[in-house]
Amino acid sequence: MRRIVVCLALAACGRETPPQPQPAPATGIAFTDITAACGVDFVHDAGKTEAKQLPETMGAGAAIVDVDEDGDLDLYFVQSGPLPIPGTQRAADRPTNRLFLNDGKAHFRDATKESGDGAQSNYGMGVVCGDANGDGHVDFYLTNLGPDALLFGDGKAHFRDATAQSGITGDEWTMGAAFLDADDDGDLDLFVATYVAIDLAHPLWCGERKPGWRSYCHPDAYPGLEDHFWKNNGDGTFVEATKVAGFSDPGGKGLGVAASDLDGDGFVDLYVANDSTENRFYRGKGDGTFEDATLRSGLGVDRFGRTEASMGIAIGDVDGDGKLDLFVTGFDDESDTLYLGLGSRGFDDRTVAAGLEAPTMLPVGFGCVLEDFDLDGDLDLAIANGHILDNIELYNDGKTHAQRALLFRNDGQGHFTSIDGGAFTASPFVGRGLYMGDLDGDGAPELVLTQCNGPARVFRAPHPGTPSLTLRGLPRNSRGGSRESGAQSSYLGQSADEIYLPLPAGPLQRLELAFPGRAGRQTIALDPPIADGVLVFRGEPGALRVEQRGR
Amino acid sequence: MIALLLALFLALDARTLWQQGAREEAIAERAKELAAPGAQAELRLELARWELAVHRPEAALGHLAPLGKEADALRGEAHYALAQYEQAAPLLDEASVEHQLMKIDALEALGRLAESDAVLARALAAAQEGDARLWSAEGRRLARVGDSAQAVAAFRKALAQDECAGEAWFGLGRALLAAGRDEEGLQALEHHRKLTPLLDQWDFARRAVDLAPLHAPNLAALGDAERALGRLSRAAELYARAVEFAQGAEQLVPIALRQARLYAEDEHDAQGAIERLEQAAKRAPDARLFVRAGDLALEAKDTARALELFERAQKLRPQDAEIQKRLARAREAK
Repeated sequence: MRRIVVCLALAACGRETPPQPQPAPATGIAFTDITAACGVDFVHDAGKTEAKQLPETMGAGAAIVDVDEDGDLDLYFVQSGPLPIPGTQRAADRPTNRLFLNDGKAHFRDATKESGDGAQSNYGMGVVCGDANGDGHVDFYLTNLGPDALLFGDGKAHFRDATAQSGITGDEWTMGAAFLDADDDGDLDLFVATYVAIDLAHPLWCGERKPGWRSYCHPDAYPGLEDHFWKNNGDGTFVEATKVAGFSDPGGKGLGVAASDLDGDGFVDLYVANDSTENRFYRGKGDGTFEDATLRSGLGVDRFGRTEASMGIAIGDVDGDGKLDLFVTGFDDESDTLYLGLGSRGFDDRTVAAGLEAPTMLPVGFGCVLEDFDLDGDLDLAIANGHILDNIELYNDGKTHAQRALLFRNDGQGHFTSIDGGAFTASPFVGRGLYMGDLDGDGAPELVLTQCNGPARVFRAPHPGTPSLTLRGLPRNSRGGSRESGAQSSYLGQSADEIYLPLPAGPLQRLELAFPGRAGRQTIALDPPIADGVLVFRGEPGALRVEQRGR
Repeated sequence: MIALLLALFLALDARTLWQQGAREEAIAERAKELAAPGAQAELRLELARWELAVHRPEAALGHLAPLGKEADALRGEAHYALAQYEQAAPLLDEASVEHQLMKIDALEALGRLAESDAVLARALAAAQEGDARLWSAEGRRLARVGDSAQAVAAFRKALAQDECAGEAWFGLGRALLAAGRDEEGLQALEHHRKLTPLLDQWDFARRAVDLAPLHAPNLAALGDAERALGRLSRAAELYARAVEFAQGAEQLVPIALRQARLYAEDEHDAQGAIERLEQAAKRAPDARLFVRAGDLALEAKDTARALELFERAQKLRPQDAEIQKRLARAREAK
């Protein structure tokens, strides 16, 4: 899909130039844990066994999305549960995925029972959201250890399982996924990353053969699998088009997926974070086909040329040069990696210069979010950490299963400093998914963290006091400030499709949108000027309408 | 004096355990020894080395605590393993290439690039023949400051030292692309792409050997990885060690078959392969070993020996149709 909004210029009253970011305060960002108070009591069940099967280590994802179309962000958590071991009977009381509806002030009620087929009870992994059937309502694609599921939403928090009619088949172990309009035909196609082939009926033994020392096997012990691309017929049914579209990675072990115009050429690209095999960068041509541009891009390996156990992905312009950058989390003894976008010269691993090498070397990173948590005009970074091995202490006395999350403040130039994140960084978690969204509607995004075999956590961000603008409903892959809409995939889930922009210089009176190659430019007058609130976009690119909402 | 003799006797015991691959037991034994009066600093240093080898840097730091400067280098290694680079950098010993590389990496991770570059410059100046890893680091430094042409030269020097240096192939490809030499750059990156899974396999196998150095399947897996990288003499050495430490036919037979494959297919030494299969068969009489040896003898036109080997296989598996076919073929050839 041709990128619709190339730049979004903000014009404030009495000013000709965009407002300048405020200097960042030196202190941390004191997130508070509001899990209990907000009514979210989801606990992930990994279905742990004595056999130490690899799926038990992966955790599961969540989505922050407005499923009942009441203007606030709801939460959907993916559950795993007992392993679907061939030859064993499926328990009737398997735990289900759960839906929590928001009252607009970050108070949630469990709406799983009313969600119809939203209460899936597979061994779940991930969730991505998008309007797959073009009816204007949010749908879910769920990846599983076993057959995936496509759920059509009705905009009233109720879902119908449409998998059987969708044309999507297969029972491989899938992980990350992304909706994208690859061929610019106005509907959402689907890319699904598969992980490894595993025989649950015949588990391998890894680690030492001493009581308590049995360990989870490294993914190298299992063969990787080809990812899948499904082309939408326009009505929420799909045809397999992996090879036709140009995707090929037969030994890949895909975890994270992000669809984004990473090279800035106006077409959506695809990035696949592989676990211990080379990551893949597929350059979109806009016609539904892609070319493997991994080698030239520099995005396949780290700066030493090493493959990494890549997990989660976050995308944004961290150094304010207008080009998108890419952050990927990884295993212990290898840092997470920040690739800076260099335009026509591809990408370069600048983890060291960004100050992210040393602090991310020891933890195992999973979910990650680039967001302007302090509303100072640049993207900060949050990372959920947690080791795979629940007995790692036996194998390395400097490592732990539960690990502290990390929060970094950006100085605006793409250099990050580790800061105190209050409750978010105070205690160790077995972190997996990490997602952001303004759950209480105050203009500052909250964080939701999922744990492997443990309770999910919700962290409220303190409002920095800066007036801000929330952009909601921008067409997918459009740019707003440092972020691209719809591109925050993290690990196995999806953050809110919202963009938060500080407005420190007073009310905004117009928005100027640019649409390369399509509808040209569009200027939207804001009458009255908006000083702090929400802009909800509707309509087609080039003919977008905007509705103002207060907080 | 008695305490010292006792300590030495016990030290030998812990060391023997270590040499036998009983690493946990050796460490536990040595820790007990250190509680005895008069325990030598050398024993403590050795314990810390063992602990570092089995990924126990915290324990190593604890055991090094009573020691003075003589323990600084090991302290540096332990801090490095814990990603405590501020503490590690001043303690690492620049006289060793391994520590030079750690120090370069630690300072780089801290963003102290000028200091990292200075250590690298000293290391390169001191190196007699150079080291592929140091030359790769120099290539990365040059690429970082935008000197693509010199970076290309440095990566080529690394590859002259070690043609399997993945970092150098990747750096070379990137530097060539930056220099506008796209075709060459992509060729180097393609080579790196092919090499990478082999290096990953090698790294995975190496880590397993670190944890259990006398476990025959681990040694053989590392041998496989070395063979895949084309480092045949290292592979042969590892297979030989794996055969030496293999316990029972279940471990020995598959390893001996891989060892024979290296001799037959890579070294083109069918005789050497057959000899090794026969040696293994003395320890673990197994039809698969005789069948493979017979096949090799047949390929080498030594039909009499092939016949003899197939007959030995048949004794072990009288009803095996495949062996009978081979016997018939050998008799026909004779």
